[in-house]
Amino acid sequence: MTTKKITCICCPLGCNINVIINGDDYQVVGEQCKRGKEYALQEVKDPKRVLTTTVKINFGIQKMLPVKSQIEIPKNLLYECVKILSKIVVEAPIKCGDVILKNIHNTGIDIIATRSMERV
Amino acid sequence: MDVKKMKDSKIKRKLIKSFKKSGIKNISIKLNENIIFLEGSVDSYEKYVTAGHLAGNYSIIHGVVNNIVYPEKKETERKKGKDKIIASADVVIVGGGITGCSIARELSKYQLKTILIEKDEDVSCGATKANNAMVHSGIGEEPSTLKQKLCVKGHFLFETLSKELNVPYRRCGMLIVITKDSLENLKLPSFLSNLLASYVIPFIILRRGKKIKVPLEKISRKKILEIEPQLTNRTITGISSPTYGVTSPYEFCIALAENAVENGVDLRLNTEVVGIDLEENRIKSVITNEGKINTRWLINASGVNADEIAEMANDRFYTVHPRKGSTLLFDKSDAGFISHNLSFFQFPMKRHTKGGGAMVTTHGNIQWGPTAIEISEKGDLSVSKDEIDGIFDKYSRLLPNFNKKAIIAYFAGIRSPTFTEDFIIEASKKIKGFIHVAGIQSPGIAASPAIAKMVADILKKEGLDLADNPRFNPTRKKHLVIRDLDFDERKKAVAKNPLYGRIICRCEEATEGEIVNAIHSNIPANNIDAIKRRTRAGMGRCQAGFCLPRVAKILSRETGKPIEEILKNSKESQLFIGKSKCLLEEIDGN
Amino acid sequence: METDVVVIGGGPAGLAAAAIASQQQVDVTIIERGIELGGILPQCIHNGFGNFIFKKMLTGPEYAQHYIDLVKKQKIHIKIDTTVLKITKDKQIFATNSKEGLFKIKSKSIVLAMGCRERTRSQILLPGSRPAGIYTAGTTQRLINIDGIMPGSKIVILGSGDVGLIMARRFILEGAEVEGVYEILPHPGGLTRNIVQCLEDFDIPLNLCHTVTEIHGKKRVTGVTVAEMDSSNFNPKKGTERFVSCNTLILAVGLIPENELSKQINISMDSNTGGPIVDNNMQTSEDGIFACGNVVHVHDLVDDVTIASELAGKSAAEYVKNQIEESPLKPVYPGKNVIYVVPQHIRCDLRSSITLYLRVKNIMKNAEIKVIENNDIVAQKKERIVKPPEMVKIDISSEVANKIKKAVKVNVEGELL
Repeated sequence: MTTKKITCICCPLGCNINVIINGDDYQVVGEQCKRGKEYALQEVKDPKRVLTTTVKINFGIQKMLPVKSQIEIPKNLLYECVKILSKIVVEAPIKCGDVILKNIHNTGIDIIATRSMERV
Repeated sequence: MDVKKMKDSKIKRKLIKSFKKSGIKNISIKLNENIIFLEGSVDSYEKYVTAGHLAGNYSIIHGVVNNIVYPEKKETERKKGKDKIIASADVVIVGGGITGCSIARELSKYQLKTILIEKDEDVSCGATKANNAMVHSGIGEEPSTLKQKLCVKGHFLFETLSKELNVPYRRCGMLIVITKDSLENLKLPSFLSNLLASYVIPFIILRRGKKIKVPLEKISRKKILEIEPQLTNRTITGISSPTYGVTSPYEFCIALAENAVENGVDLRLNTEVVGIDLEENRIKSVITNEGKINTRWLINASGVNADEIAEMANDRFYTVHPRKGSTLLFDKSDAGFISHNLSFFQFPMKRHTKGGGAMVTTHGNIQWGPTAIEISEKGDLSVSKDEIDGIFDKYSRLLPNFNKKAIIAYFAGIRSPTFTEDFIIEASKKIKGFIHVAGIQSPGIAASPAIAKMVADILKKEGLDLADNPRFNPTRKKHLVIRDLDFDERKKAVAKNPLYGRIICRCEEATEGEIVNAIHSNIPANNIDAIKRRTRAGMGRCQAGFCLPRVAKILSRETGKPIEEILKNSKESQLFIGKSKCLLEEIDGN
Repeated sequence: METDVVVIGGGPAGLAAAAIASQQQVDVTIIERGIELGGILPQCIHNGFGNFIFKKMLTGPEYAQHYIDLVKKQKIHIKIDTTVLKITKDKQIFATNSKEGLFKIKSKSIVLAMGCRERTRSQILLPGSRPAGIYTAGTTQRLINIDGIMPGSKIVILGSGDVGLIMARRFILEGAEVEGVYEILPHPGGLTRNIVQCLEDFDIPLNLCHTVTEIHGKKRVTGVTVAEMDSSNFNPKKGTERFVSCNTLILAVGLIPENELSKQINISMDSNTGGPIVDNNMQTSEDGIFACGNVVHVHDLVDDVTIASELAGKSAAEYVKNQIEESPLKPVYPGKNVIYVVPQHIRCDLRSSITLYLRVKNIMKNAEIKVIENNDIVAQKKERIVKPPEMVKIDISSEVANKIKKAVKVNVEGELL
């Protein structure tokens, strides 16, 4: 039996929630609302994060292009994904929303540009 | 008994006695031709300095070589020398601070091949760039010293010199402010203290001024508070020294060096002296990390390292003990708060320091300081909390309404005093061709024009032929300062060069054109700090928070160096560790 | 050159103000010192922007893109790579760029939207040496995200505000090592979300009640000394010092509204915000000169900047068209537990409700925010929790506000945590 401590981020209260894990059984203690309970369970079972980083870009007004994962990806893959993206170089022009890398690290999730950049 | 030997043994006895009083024991004292050699060990650096000062106190003593060992003592690491002969010169000047650059410019008036060597990556990198910029009149110096004489002489030359060199200089005057707290350390009843402060102290100061021929004037409390309304109302009276001035010391030094180069001096930066070759007690060549330079005349103007250079020339008769001075710099926003240099008269005061002051720089910032802290390490430029607190406390008493929150920066510089606490400017008695210009502490800036002339005279007396250089041009080429131009002049400048229209440093209004000029000037600025000194980019209230990336990019573009190699100042001061993603690539074994 | 509204600053504040002003059929000019519009947003590549306005968690660049596109669709004059050097009370603007050199613009109104700058090492009086490797958080954000430069590899961060936390994560995701975040107060300065996603996610220690007491290194940072804070006298505790090896010190120690230009024309300033005093129309003490965004007070959410800036832009346009009424100003004072309130004045001729923005001094639970005149409650609101790093808002309806006689005060009371 293990207990994981979670700080809820759904609202400014920031409740300290404990999730007691007993095999396949999850018990949530300390939440003050439904959203908190859902968040705590998600965080313990399958924590996910939106990845935001940059990739190198040629012929643009700046040297780096900001990108993000279209939706949250598993938290433990963040580092692998930035390493993959560190090898990518794109070229301007880019439109905000363009797919920079499809299906990163077999997650089924795309990495998209978060700004437009004209060619100079 | 020999009269001289008697004097020597008397001094020795007195010295041992005064050592004992200060808890200093088992020190061997050797006296030879008025030079005292100290050897032994003490348990603190403080005692080491005290021993040196006690020995240097006797007026007959010409120099103190202090070899006493103290706990933090470290051997200086020297670069490796190269044997290849890379140049030959009539005169080699070691040290590119204000002293060396003044001498270089002075010697460029003559038909001489002069090489100025500087170990750092720019001129002015020692105490010159980190002092409080006052051009002292000489009134604060210890009477009958060489530094006082040269200070008085030198400071009168600044008006002309600053015009020739196109550097900022303001004869703003200094007010020595005497307040109810000036004599607090004497712990006298206040009526007596006020009496002394109102009449005796001013009398003594005025008398000294008359003696050394520096114009002074006593100012009534009413007048002093009229011309400096922000002074504390505990002010009793003051003395005005109207010939006091303020300059921009690093700009001054750079200008001297540029004018020297314009007039034919060969400036070699990143060149460090590691040895000196002698031939029959005569200078033969100087060995540097870049190679050997043959020369017959070597001028030692190397600041904190002057004693080590003298050692290499086999004529060390002094030891430099570094004394740190930290200064606080405030925003220009309170412009007009004070207009004179202000010094807070205190008695008794720590010896060997004038106590610093509050002043307005030539660019409108207010400065407080400097401190005077004996330190064991020549390169220790850290500013301590105690120093910051101490400066705030001292000058808040003088200027109680000052907005201390407007602080922009603080920095430290290292003075190079010897234990006799005076300038040592003379031809070596042992080694022909070696000229000592050592122990140049404050008033080094004010004295610099006079020091340069004195050195030229010494060279002449020693036999160096000084034929006039007919092509000498005293006027340094003027660099464009865009923020000083009016509307129409500015429009014209940008029409010629669009880069003068782009502001890179918002706080100081430094333009891209000026930065590019600095990078390509005759003493090229190839790092961030060198650009800062020449253009003021990064000196403002945001302390380069906005302009650093931009200046670095311009440097990279103009010098062709990849941006990750751009330096803040010298070789190990990398600003960046690489391009984006470089660490991720490393981790992946790329 | 002549125009109706000059907007100084092309960041989120300036963009929003310009877009709305232009929609009111007046001639608008934006002056931006960077080479592109967007201000600070293009370098804020993380998400969390626009949750209030767009109901989406956008990244900074995406949020900026929306307003840049909006501005470009309209007939707004845009001068980029142009720095304003001077402004005058009669609305003359002196600016410079590499194409036109130094030039003058005559305008009918000005919107100040210059944003803020970062507090420096010297301003916090941090002792020690002056090596390379000391950066403010925003500068490193710019270097990494825009210029493609990595400033360091072994990082110590002083300050746990959002900028510091965001940069902790950013450094990790660029392959650096972050030794820890040090915070002088007993509670973190940033959002809990950022504590979790920037520090906890990467096992970066958060050292509360700690500070950096000295910087070491002659040419490049070699380390810092950190120490525990003595909560009784707000000084570092002697004997708790320890050396932390690093090559980079990041300072996230506060933002300062950039009011150099405002001070040139002597408009009234609020020492609690660091910015100009404004009324509910975002007009400063000088007629026709408006201010919005971080130049007025430092915001947490860009959405709040947009809302206030749209108000400023609308007001500037109305001023140009002589539609602003000159009814008397009623001051709004910060009361119990309140550091500041913006706007500092209300003109009581309102046609719609207004929002007061304030910051509290302490963390409080079950807080009651009350706007009072003498002892009468003008408006009140309850919040489960209020914290200094999270701006508090309270609306006042126009009917109620128009009845204010002299002045109001804003108090916040609750259980101290």
